[in-house]
Amino acid sequence: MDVLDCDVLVIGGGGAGVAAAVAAAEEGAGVMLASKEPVGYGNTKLIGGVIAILPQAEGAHEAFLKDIAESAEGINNEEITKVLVNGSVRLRDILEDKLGVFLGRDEEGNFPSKAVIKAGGHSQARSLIIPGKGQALSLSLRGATAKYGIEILNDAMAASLLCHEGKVVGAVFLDVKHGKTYAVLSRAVILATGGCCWLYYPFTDVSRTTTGDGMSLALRAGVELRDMEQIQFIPFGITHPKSMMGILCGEPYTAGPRGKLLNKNGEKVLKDVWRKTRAEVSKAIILEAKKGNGGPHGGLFLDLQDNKEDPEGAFIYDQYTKGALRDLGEVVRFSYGEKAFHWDEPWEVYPTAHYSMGGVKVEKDGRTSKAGLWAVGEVTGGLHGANRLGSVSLTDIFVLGSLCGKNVVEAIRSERTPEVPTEAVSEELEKVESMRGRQGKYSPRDLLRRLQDVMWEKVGPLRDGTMLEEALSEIRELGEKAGDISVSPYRLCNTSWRDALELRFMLDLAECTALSALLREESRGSHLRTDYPSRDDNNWLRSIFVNHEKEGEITADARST
Amino acid sequence: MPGLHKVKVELNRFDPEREEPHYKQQVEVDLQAESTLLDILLAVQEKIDPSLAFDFGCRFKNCGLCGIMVNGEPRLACLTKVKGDEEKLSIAPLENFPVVRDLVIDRGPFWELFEKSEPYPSDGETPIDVIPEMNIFAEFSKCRECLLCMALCNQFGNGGANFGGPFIFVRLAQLYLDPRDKQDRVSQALSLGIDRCRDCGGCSCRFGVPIKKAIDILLEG
Repeated sequence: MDVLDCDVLVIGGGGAGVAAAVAAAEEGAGVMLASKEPVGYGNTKLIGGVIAILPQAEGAHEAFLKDIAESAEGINNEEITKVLVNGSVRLRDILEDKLGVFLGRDEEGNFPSKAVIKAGGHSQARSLIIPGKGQALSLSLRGATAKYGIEILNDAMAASLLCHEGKVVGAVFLDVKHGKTYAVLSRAVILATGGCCWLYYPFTDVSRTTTGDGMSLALRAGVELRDMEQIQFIPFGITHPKSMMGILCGEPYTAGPRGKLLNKNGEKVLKDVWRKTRAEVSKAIILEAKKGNGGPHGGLFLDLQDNKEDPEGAFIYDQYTKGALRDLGEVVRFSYGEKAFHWDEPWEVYPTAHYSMGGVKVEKDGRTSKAGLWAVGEVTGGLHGANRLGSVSLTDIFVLGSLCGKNVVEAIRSERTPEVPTEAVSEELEKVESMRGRQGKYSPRDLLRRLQDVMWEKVGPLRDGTMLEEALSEIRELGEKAGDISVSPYRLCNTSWRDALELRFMLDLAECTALSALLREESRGSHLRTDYPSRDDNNWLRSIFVNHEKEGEITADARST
Repeated sequence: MPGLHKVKVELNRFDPEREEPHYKQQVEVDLQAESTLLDILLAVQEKIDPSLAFDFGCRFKNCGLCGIMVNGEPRLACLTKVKGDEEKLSIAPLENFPVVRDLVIDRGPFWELFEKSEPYPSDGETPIDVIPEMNIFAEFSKCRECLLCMALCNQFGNGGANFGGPFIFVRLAQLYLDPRDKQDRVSQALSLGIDRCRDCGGCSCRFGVPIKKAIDILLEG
């Protein structure tokens, strides 16, 4: 039996995980960081590279708090939001001094003003464009782990958490590449595994690894998840080639003042697209496509040509082809060609799942309700409420990540390394080992794809009570089938072994999402119900929390945020 | 839907648990007119042979996980278009790395070498306003960490375990330009065998990272 040990075990190798690991190591803890993909190769690398900072301006604190709450439509956790805003003054210290990122400054020592923009939904200019964007961040992350002597567990997928005497004391891992299972014992575990938008594949722009592992691990350890119905959908994703389906290629704003959203008959579908919310445009596209008015690849058409004759439209066009939005433009160019890239012909778009606002319920210091278990970043819920304000996710992972790492070490100072009975560890390892070679009726991959279809069709940007009830019963049916799966017997790169584990995680999260969406009988933020089309502050200024009961049942209830 | 067409592909597979670990598999895949090599790999895994192992992450350009050899050239599967009129499509794992299975390489030993080079600004506590050669620094930041350059490198494959290779040299050159860094990156590069790059010039980057510039900086200061 292969058992490692450390003080702090971080699960997840993106910005949140590395920030937490670095902060914990700086406090003197022995840290291990487990990552499914090489450190820095996940969604932190794919982001736009814009991070919300606290500007030197009158009332900057209050304005930032207010903007987050407004975007969250009132169901964000105020305490966590305050910690984020207060902590954001430390961003330069975290990013430049600790992680080795370069941000630059002007003569007065502030962030270079040219690089600080007023992003959508923000009342002040406070979004800093990081030089080199996500790529530069990613390059720095692995360097930072080397600098602080953090031991990396490569290709490590967490299969379950080890619990002993009511505390989380480590985790069991599967190294999918090498087909090895092992356990890590630790005094604390930090979950930093990111979101769960792979639930909507292929209609998503996230990395393949975004299967919500940490959310399910926490749920099964007895921790509540919150706001799971709030999935951020962006209306403009690519429709073809198939491998690129869902890749982000625009925002409502980039449709510009004269941009038109057209169906296959060339009829205008929505007015003033560029002034609508992401959720509104996403819903409109799906409603129209469902009527059979979609294009050859199922989407609607964006016709942006007339923008070139409008000053503001022309500005956006320039940004798209030469400026800050160039990355989006390049996606269009590669998939649809030069004419589309230059807005000279309409191109097809379809919504895509981008971010999970919901997740593990944490306190303001990052701890969960389970002793020994902490969480940070997209895996958590609470900061973003019903809708994430742009450029705040990077602030989240670095500010709260860094604080979480520090708080964990503070909390474990007086604790000893747990003495966990070896039988308990080998039992958990055996559960993972015994999946391999199992002979059942269903392929885990097939069940996963079916689950993803159900999620998109019935728990996607367009929802109503009937659809959600159907979804719940289908998800539970798939859950039963998941007890009767086949997993290939070989060890190395056994994809079906990984699929089997991810299927279990994703079934949990699918059920949590559908259940929360069914309970919330109103429309708020990213959750739009056609049977309850308006926001209802009298009844629903609350969050929805889900629980994994001892009997295996998942239950939901609404409480104050 | 636009019409389907058939594409023939040769997969160079590897399974150390087999009696003959290396074997070729010919497959025929139905594809839409506009497809990528990643589409082919996904179609094979989903519909023909679920045991085919390969890595991918973001599905467009950014993560650097889907590097493979296509007709002997290192490419990213997501960025390689397939039109259907290709005379030959032979797919193999990225060269110069240990292969775990099929198209999946083991990056582990390479990361160890990378980490030994202390790939971070060594004196990070000193605040800086500007990086004097920001333009070149920014060019180096375009690195997608896809490791295609390492597969193309003539020296990395033959140079034994301690040859750094273009990926590491670009990172070292970037740190050399970073005023926060006090390490002797030139000596480091020399001990990682950069001398052998002097008369080679065989490297290139899919994303336009000026590798030769990095090597020049380290060789000439």
